Amino acid sequence: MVERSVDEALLLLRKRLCDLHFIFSVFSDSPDSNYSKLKFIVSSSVTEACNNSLLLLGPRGCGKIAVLDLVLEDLLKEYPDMISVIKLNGLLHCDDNCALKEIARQLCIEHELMFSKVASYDDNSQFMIAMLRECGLAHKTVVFVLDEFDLFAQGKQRLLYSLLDAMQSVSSQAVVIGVSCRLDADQLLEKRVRSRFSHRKLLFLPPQKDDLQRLLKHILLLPTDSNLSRDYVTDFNSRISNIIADKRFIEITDKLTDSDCTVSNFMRFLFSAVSCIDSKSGYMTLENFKSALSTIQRQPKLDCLKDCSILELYIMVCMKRLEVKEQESYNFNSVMKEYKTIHDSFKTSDYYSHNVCLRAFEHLLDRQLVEFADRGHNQCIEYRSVKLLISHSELHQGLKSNRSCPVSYLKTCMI
Amino acid sequence: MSKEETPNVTRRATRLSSTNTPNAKERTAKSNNLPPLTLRDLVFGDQQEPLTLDGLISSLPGRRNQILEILRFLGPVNSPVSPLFVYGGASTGKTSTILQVFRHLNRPFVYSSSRTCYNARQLFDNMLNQLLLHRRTESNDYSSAKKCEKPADFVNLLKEALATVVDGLKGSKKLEGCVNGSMVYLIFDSLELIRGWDKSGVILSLLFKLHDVLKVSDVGLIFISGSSFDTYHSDTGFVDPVPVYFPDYTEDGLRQIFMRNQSNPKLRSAFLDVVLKPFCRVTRRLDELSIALSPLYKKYCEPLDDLDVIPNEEIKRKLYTCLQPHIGPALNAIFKVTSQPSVEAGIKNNLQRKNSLKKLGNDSIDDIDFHMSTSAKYLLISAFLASRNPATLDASFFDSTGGPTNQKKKRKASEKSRDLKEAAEQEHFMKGPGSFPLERLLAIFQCIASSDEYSLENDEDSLETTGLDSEFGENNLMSDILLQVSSLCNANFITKGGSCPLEGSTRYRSTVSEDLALKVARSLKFPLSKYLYRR
Repeated sequence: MVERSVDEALLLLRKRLCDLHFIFSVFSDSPDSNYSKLKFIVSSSVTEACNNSLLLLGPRGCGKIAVLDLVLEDLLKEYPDMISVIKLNGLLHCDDNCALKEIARQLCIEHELMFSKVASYDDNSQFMIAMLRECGLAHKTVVFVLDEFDLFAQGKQRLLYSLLDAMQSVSSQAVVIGVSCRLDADQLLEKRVRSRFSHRKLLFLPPQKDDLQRLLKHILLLPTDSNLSRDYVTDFNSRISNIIADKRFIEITDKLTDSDCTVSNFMRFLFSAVSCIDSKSGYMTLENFKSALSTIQRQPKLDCLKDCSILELYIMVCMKRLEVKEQESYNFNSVMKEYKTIHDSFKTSDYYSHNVCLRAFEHLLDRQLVEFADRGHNQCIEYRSVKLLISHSELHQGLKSNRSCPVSYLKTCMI
Repeated sequence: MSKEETPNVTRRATRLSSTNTPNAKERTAKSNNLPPLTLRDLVFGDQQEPLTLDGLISSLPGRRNQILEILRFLGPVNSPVSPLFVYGGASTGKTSTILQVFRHLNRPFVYSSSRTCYNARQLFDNMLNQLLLHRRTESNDYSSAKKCEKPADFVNLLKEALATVVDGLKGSKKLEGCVNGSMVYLIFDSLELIRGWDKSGVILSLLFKLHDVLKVSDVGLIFISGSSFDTYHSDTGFVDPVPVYFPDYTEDGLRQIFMRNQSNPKLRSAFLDVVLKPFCRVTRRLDELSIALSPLYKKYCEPLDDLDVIPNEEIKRKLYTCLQPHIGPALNAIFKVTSQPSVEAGIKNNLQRKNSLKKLGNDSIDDIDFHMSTSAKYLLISAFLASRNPATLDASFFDSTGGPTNQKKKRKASEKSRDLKEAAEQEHFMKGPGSFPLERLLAIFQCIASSDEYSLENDEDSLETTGLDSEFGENNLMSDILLQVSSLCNANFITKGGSCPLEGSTRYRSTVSEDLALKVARSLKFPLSKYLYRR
């Protein structure tokens, strides 16, 4: 019985972590939260039959689209048949033709009309204006959601202008909501577009520490009224509460949020921790969280350095020496010259032929530890100037952590 | 207009199309034998027995931790999963591990690699074909199921296709034994190649956001990449997926892999004791090591009459002393995979050359191992000389008789001129070979080739240039030369640079190393060193 409870509990936790609605619903109860403000704005424009436009701004992973979806879902329940939603994405529809086609397609699906794929740009735009007029006359609000709004603001902004212009006509009822991760998205608008845009902005910020605590409890505590066994649930919840109050756990979460405190990063951390749950014991431990932190916070360049072979490390040490000698630009041939001088002065046993060194150099390029400093492709790679992409201290640390690296290279590195 | 102006344009029948008709019926009959695809084909192959966890771990040595990590992230059947980002160096087993994990789990997945789908449209079409269970056959002219040019169409079509597949998986009863679960996993392989595509920023942003854009809960996304996540740059950033890191194999891991499927494990292990450490200093990539070590192993086993013997210490020492002189040169050779027929000839050649001393760092094999016509060789040498020598010295090097003038006796160099020489050499090091216009190349070529005209006339074999004219004249040679230049360009011996805006002609650059030029000159018995400008 316990086994099945564990599996079901795991499934429940994973479902919660991948469901944005559930995550952000915890923030929606207080009256000055973004959820309430957004709901008020949209519902007031629906009930008062007026046009509106606003921007949702905030860094990635703070829940702008999630909160917007929650609001729209609730409003669709409250005012059925009075709202229709059109969703556009700047990544997909930044081209005006494409965007209008998509608007027309979604309008057709909404109102059960036949959509023609070969309609031209003018046809689509006339259709959209006609639909807006009809919806306005029928007291139906059309909500346009423009995700990645800053991508729509590139180029001539024809779509934005035509949308906002259509809203100016008397009989239309539309709300335009732009969502962007650039905090200066409204500065990108042209003058004529900006004049038609109301400068309403909602700022979405990453949550504070006590909000994160609330979120943690909301997600990890299992519900007592589900069909899982009661003992298991109470046991599980008590252990979670103990862990959350533990000082070491607070250190772990501080480490995580110091680098990135957005909700999506926190969710990745929890997902990683939840997947570490041992299916035999069925409870979360502090070890789960510790291993999750090390999985999420990786140092890719140091990992690469640990994997390099000795010849590749040697080449990087030669490049570092050239940089220390203040040679602004150097290429593979100068690195080889330095390689030869080191070999002559230190009499190391690792002296390999030109081709082998060239191959090791190409491995370094693949791993993105070195990079070409120029843009042109006219020369063969031995003559193109290169530069190191890691700092000297990182290289030093990497040499120390590499298992097979002999100590003498540290000496040659330190000049 | 009159009737003459409306010609009946008949299509020209090409030779290929005219030979098609008699065999067409046979071919369609053959191609119809392939059965249509079903949902069962979304799983890994058709396996007779399922792969257990132990079988999975033992088939991929050194990857136990990564396998367990991936299985943990994927979770039980039908559990939602965050997008995964699997990354690691080349040939660390990322693709094979993921595919074998799916074979073990027996869950449906769709795989596409950015190596075979070389642009966005191919990638989209490939994914959609697999999801829509569409096979490209002759009957539908090898076309894809849906035309998908833009990312917007791709997302819409993908949503529909996923909905159909997931409904099919949930509803069908007869798939219960064969297919686990109703979630579909999309695997995108070789993601780092997308960085070099056209509009790569849009495509990468789209792929990393696909999970949010699709809003379908029964989909898992797995990205496999050769480089870590921080090398994917974007102006506005992505939401990070969950990373899974595949480190390079440790020496123990490499040893385990090389010990697999061996008929005589003790002999192999003795060989690896000797050889693995020095080779790991140069490279730790599995593909390069396996190609470098296989001929060495053959050489190691040569002195043994009986390959099943278990070696004791004495035998091991003897074998090591036999192998030792070969390890050094093998470390310095980048791997060459010879084709099958010439393997025996190659071994014989190597045996003959065993006694000749090879200098470290200079694999000077006397003959070049590809064939070139004589005029192509002369062109190569002319290109090399044109790149290395400054143009102003051409007149002194190549006078009308075709030979170099006597070098003036050099005075003892003063310190200032020595410094200038060093600076000039440094500059030459940095800049690389110079560029030259086509006329200069042809001029040098004519000069060199005409000087050896007498020797060329005697050599009849390589000069069957045109077959029509038996008379050998320079006019016959010239028309061939321009074709030779373009074929040398295609073979990357000469690169074509940008054109100078004043002169308007394209400039060329020779990319041949001095070793190769010397080899080619030696094969023609051409005194290259006399023509090279030494600073």
